[in-house]
Amino acid sequence: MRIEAKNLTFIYGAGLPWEQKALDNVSLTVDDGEFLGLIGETGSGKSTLVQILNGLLRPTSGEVFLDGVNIFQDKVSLQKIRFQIGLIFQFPEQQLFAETVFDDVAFGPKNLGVPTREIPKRVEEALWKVGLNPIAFSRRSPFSLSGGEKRLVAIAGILAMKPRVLILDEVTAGLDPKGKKEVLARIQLLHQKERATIIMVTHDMDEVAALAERIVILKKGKVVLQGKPEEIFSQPELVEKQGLALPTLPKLFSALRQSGWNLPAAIFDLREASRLIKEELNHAAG
Amino acid sequence: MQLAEVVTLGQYVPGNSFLHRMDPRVKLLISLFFLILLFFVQKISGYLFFLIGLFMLVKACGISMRYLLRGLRPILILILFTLVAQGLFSSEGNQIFSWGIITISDVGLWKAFFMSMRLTMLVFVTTLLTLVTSPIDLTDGMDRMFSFLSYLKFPIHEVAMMMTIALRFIPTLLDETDKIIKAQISRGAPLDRGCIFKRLKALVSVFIPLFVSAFRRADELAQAMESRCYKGGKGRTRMKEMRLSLLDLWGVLASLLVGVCTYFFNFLPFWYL
Amino acid sequence: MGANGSGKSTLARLMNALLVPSEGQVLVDDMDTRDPSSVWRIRQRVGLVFQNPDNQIVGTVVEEDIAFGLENLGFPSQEIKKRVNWALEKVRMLDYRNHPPHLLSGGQKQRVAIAGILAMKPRCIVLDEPTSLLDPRGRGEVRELLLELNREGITIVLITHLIEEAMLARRVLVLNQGMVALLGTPEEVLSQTEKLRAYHLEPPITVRLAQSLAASGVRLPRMVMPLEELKEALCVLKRKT
Repeated sequence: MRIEAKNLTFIYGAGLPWEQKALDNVSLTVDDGEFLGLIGETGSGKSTLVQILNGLLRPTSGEVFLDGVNIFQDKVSLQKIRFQIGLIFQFPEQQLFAETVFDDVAFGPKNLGVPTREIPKRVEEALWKVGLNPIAFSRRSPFSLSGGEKRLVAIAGILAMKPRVLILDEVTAGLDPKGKKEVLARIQLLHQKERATIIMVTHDMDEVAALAERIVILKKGKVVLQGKPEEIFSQPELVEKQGLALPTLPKLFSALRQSGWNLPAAIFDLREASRLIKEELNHAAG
Repeated sequence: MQLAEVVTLGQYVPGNSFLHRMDPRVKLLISLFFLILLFFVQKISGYLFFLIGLFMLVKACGISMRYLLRGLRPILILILFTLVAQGLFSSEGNQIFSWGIITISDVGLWKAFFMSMRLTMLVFVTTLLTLVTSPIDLTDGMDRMFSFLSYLKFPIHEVAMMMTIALRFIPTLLDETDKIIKAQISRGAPLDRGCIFKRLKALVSVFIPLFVSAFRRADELAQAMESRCYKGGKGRTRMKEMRLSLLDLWGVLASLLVGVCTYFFNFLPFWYL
Repeated sequence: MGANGSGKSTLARLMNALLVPSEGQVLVDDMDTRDPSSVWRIRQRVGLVFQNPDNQIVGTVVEEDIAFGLENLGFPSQEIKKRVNWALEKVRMLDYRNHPPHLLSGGQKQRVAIAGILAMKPRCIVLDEPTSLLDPRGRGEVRELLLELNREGITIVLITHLIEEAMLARRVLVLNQGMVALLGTPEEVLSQTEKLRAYHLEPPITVRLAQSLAASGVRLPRMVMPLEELKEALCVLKRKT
């Protein structure tokens, strides 16, 4: 599923005294099966952008095309298409409400009109995809689960709707290291096994460097940098000029380069980094 | 951000007029005084006199009448209903016009106008009060004025604290509601489309998370309050001092004057005035 | 430090008498937390800041919230005003004194929460994962403030699962399943990568890199260093050779 956003502008409270431009002429393309990292601070417009992509908000101007169809052209298109984009909000466990995990995960497919006999299968599949055993979890109350488990159930709730695109807004926010690892591993699996198109909104540079195939950086409602991680982090001055932090290894290497070391800019593997530093030290010695 | 900004609490408009600067307790008492007085006014001329006085006061404070009129919106239907019920269906006094069930009489018309005026005046008084007094000042004012009630075993401090916390959390809860609604719409919940029954049923998916979240907040807040030595109202002091000033004295005197004059209109001849 | 369920939050609440131990004692300056008459003095000396920035703010505007603790303790109005001003300045939120809390960022809310505790002039501030719900900017603001307060002599007990934060401390305690698992300096504790992993904690990349380099013969002074220090150490090594 290919997403094309063209010249999106969004103004909150247009015409009123407190009007605010959240997005300013933003254009973006996401190819089928791509893993895109969307980076931006609070106030950069990333939440607005993401809500426009799944049809929750209407842009003040600009268009969004899914596989060539303009999603806002009429109400019918909107209804049909918007659920092909699954949006997982920040702290999604706050939306859990049903009596059992099964019912909560089934909520999405039911609303979509999935036939009743297919629902159990959908729920089962979705729970497996997030690493929760349906037999152990289906009957439990969502409120009896741990924070990390709740989040996985919330994600399953969207996966059960079988969206063609998954947008994850700060999906690891507030989780402990173990929880973070699990969630990121599941997402990576989804991408690898099913070639799911994924847009991950985050401010954790290390996360993005590890998983994303392409990065888009938003600042104050505008796209300021776009490209593959290697491309972007090889120009650390550009990134730092935007007031953003580099991932740890590129940051270290950039600082060392400023002190005269001969090291590459794009570095993400720990062993490789260690080897390169050792080499430099050996060179200096001999 | 959006929802909480659009919903302004009560109708408070910050400002620096003398009404704004008056002690909230005095404002509460004066409002109460007028609310009761207005029930004893029996002449339209009295209401008109009061309305003129109100208008001049509002103008002198630099407040736009628009805000007062906006306060009428919630009860517009009630006023309309009163006008229609009294005006078109009353048979007191002399009949002017009659057709089928509709009877318009002179006393009926007068009553319609009179009762609508009374309602309007009452709403104007409360609207003006909330316009020039912030919700927190109102709560504080009530807390301090009625603190003696705690001796009568009425938990006035706890009630005031509850109101303060409610005021504090309303924008936060509104933001959360907004977010939950969006999340559930993204899961296909028919909150923004479909027949009314479907929509109501879908609201369960909004209310339950909201309630659960509210309880969790309450628990966490209680721990935070205890950690900061909250132990109820006994021995509690306040940072903001409420001091009566000359302004308040003038306010009370002026109100008494206006009130008495308004009441004297009752003694004017001609029933319809 | 510790994984979820290790008991860190419980320990925090035992320190200010919010919870009382089933066995054993908690003494704050020789006051027993079990003693109901000392509870308020204990809570004045040991302040507690919670994880969720929103759910600890009571006031409808910032300065009201900061005054809350002092009002509860019955301080006179003038003294409260002085302390509130001082606390606002300390956390650099003077310009926001009349702001309602819902218009503040997460980092700002936590600073307000800290100010509310500061106004009570505690000797120690315990913070239960204060940055875990914040964005990077907010985390930076809070960390800087805590370091500053510590330099001025206030004891800080920071509960976290972020090793980058634990590195700032003079001592680190790791809990596992309600028991003390590791205790020592950051260097002693945070270099034990395998053990930390077993306790569901993730050593930061800088530590792992340092260990990898050490394993291949690079002689670094320490394993546990923030990024700038690691860079400096490597440059020093390069110059030496």
